[in-house]
Amino acid sequence: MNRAILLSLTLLTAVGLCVLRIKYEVVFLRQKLQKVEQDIGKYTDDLRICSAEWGCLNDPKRLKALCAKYLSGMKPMEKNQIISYQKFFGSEFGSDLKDAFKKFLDKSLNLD
Amino acid sequence: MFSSLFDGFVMWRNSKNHAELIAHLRARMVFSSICGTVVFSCISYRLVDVMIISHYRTQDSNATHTEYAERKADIVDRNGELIATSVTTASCFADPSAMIDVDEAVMKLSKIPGMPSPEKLKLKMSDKSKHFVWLTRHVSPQVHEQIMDLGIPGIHFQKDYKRIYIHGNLFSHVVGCSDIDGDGVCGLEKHFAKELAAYGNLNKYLVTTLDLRLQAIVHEELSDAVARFKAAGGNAMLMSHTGEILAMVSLPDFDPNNLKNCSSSAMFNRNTLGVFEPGSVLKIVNVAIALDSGAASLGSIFDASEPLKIGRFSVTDFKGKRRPLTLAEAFVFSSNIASAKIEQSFGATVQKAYMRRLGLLDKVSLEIPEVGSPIVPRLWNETAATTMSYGYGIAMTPLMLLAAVASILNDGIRVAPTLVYGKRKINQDGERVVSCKTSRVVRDLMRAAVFCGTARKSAVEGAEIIGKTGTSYQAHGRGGYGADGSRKRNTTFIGGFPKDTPQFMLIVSLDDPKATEESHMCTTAGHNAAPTAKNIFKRIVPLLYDTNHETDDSNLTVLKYIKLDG
Repeated sequence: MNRAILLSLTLLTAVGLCVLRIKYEVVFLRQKLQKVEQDIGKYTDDLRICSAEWGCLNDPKRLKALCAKYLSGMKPMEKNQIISYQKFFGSEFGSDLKDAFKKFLDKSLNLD
Repeated sequence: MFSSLFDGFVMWRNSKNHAELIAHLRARMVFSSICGTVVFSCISYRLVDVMIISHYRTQDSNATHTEYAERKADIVDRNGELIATSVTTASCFADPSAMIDVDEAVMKLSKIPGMPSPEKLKLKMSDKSKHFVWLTRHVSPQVHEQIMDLGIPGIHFQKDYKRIYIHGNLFSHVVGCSDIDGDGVCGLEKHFAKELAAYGNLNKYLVTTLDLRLQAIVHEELSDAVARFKAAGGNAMLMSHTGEILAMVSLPDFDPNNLKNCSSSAMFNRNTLGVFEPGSVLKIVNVAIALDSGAASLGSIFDASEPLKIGRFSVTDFKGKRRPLTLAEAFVFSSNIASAKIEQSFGATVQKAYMRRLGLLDKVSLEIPEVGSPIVPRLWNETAATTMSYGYGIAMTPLMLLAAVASILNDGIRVAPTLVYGKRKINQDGERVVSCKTSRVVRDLMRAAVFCGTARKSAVEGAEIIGKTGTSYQAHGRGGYGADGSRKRNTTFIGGFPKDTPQFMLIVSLDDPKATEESHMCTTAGHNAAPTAKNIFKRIVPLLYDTNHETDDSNLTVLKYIKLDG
């Protein structure tokens, strides 16, 4: 009887110690997880600040001022500078280019 | 305990008095048991503390922290360019109950830049019963470090988020602004307050239909026009045929990053709240009703040689042709007399039915709280209907007007404005407001107005711009339109491109523009709103234009109904 009680107490103590150890491991892992989450939050914050700074750098007013400073002599494109695909290949310059393009394509196909 | 038993056994061997020995042993056993109980009780208490009490305490403290620090979701334009974001900052607070010397703390803190005045600090920290008092919000890292270096007991920092508007006043009215706690005050920030708060930590964005490039162009050109024509303000909007608003500018505007010196007039969104009598731009609707109801055709003649008498008032033309005009001429030359007579051909009942169908009698639905309702006549009789034919007697917001005109031009299918990207798709089965044929003829008429009419100054070389101008006097409540010399005007241009399939619609409006040399000392829309629209078109057409559309006015059938004088 006494032996049984003693054995039970010993086992109980051993199980208790195991549970305690597991508990501390969980606490340690939880702290580690919190640290990782904090790091993720910090990096996310940093990324947000970086994208905000990038947005400021891309501000149209700033870009316009930079263009005026470094691209003097150039101006925004106008509609009459853009022509359609058909119109381009219908022009004198475009027809030559079209022939050259066709030859290039034929050559490429022959190689294949 | 075992040593006690051993000692007892030795004593039993050496002693003859058993009773004395047993009493001695019992005393020792009791003492050892008490010691053991105390030790195990301590261990048990510590175990309960570590495993249960401390555990929940930690969880509680974390919850309090995350509950306060809430990050809002970013707002981006249709191309993913950042418009509004939240950045991490620190906010300083005091726990007066934990402070040792308040006067010393006030003296030290008041020297830090950005902190409240010593009087305010003293007032905040003097109540010892309090445990939390904000001292300053969103401090810079430098100030944060300076305060930390002071090492004052009871002064702490809380992680906080500050709303930043990257482009300042560029999107002020449409995106809106937030207060110091990040709660939306107006615009998209207010309308989507719950969603922005909910999706903040999930790295989700609110994607708007706005386009940073187009918004910047419209803002720049409108600001320039307001300055050049010395206008009190102005507004402009660019919308696609799907109803997606690409740019929305209202001047004067405000910087949502700094609301301290912001006036109420600057906060007013003219595009969605500013109801006004649109003037001749409403002739687009008038002509569309006449054509769609079959009351008139392009060649129908309306006599505009004499002013039209209605009761004690007479309808006159500004620089009228003083001759009978076809419907096409009445529209292109913007004749009030002919427009009134066109309206008389279909009547007030038909007009009201069409206006309701076009959404001009109801509030427009848009994803911002600042949306105004139209002002419509109480009694919709023939006199009111005639007045409305040339844009008076009914007041609406520019947004309503743009949506109605876009619906007419979009092959007659209703266009519903939106600010949320991807919400609207091209829907050919949508509600029809006018026939496809009417839509095509109205587009031709608007092209003719740019080609040879009142909107000539909006023409851009190489682009098929369509448009119509309108000038109206500003109403002064019940006082009419003011004395002749003091009358203020609203000038409006509404148009789009390309003619056959208008994919982009623009409205430009100027509030009380003055006569300048550039406008040839005129204050009509053709001399200020139309050139402003031209400047905008000139810059946005290369960005948006489908190059397969080429300008060809030779097949503009409406031209044969228009006689060009001189």
